[in-house]
Amino acid sequence: MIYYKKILIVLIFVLFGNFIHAITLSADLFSYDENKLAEEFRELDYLENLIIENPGISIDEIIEQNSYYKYFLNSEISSPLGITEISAPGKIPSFWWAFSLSIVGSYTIYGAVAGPIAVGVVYFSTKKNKDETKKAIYGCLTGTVLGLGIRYLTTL
Amino acid sequence: MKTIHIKGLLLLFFIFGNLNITFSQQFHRFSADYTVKYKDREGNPIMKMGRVFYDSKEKKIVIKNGFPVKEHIIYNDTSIYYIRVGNIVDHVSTISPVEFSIFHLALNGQLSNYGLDKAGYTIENVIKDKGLIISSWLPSEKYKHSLGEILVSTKDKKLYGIVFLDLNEKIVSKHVFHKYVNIEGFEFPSEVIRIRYFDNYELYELTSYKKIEVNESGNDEYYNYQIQKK
Repeated sequence: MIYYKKILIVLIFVLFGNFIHAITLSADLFSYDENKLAEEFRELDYLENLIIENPGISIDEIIEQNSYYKYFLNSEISSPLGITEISAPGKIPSFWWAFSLSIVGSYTIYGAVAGPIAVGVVYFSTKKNKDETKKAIYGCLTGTVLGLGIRYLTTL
Repeated sequence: MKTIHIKGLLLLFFIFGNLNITFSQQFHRFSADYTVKYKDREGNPIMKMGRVFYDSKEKKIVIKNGFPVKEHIIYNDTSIYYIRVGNIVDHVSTISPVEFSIFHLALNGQLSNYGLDKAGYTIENVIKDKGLIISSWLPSEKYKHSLGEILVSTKDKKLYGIVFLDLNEKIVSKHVFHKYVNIEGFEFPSEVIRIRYFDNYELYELTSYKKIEVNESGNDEYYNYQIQKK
C-alpha cells in the first residue's frame, strides 16, 4: 500500500511538475537587446548632451537645430493650464509682470515707459521666448489701457 | 581578579559597540540628476531631465523637472502633485507607497530583493546561473489570484534584475539595474532599464542618475517640500 502511494506521488510530480513551476528560472530571463536599446535612444542621447552642454537652451532653439525634436512641443508635455515657464523676475508670470508695471506707469504718465521696459525684461530673461514675450505684450497693453482709463475717470 | 576580567570585558563590549555605531553610516537623504528616455506607443521620443530629492524620514519623492517643462512633481503615499510657478496644476490620487521606491529601498539597504519580503512576498525557489543568483517570489495568499510571480536576480550581492510575470507566467515587464556607483558606502545603480511587454511590441525606458549625493545637509526646501494649497 505504502509502495503504491510513493508511486502515485512520483507520478503527480512527473505529470504536474510543469504546472507547479511552468517558468524555468535562468539568467536568460534577465537579458535584453543591448543593440536595440542603444538604437532606440540614439537621438535622445544627442539631445541629452546638447542640453547638458547648453544649460538653459530653449525648446525652440533645439527644434531649430533638429526638427526631430518638435514632438516636445506637443500638448502632453506643455502645461495643461498654459503656465509653461517661470519667466519674469520674482517668479511672476509674464502677463501679470508687464500688466502691473504698465498700469502703474500709465496712471502716473511719467512712468509710461515702465510697460515696454517690463516687456523687454521678459524678452531677455526668457532668452527671447516668443510665447512669454507675447504674454508680456498683452499684459502691457491691458495695463496701459486700464491705467489711462482710471486716470481719465479720476480727473473728470 | 574575576571582577577585573568582567570590567575589562564590559569595557571591550562598550568600545566595540560604539565603534559599530560610529562606522556603520546611516543613509537617509538621496539626491541625483536624472534623465528618463523612452518612446510612447506611437514611437515619439520623450525625455525628461531634472533632479530628484528623497528623504526617508519625510517619505516624499520630490522631482525638480527642468526639461522639457520646469515643474515640481511631489509623490507621497496617496497623491502625486504637479506644481508649476508655485501653483498646483494637477493632482492625481494614487496608491504608490514611496517605501517601495528605489530611493527608499537603497537608503535602507533593502534594494537587493526590492523589499519584496516586506511587501508580503515569500521566496519560492533559488538557483544560480551565469553569475546571477535568481530567486522566485510568490505573493501572499490574499493576492495569489490577482498578482503574478516576481523573479529577482542579484549579481555580486547587488540587485541586477526584476521580472514581473502575470498569472499565466508571461513576462509583463523587466527591470535591469546596473552601473552601480559607491558613494561613501552607499551603493546605487546609475542606470535602470525598464522594458514593458505588450502583445505585438515592447517599450524600452532608460533612466540614468548622475551627481548622486547622500545625506546632503542643504536643500531642505526640496527634501521636505511644503505644498501650498491655495
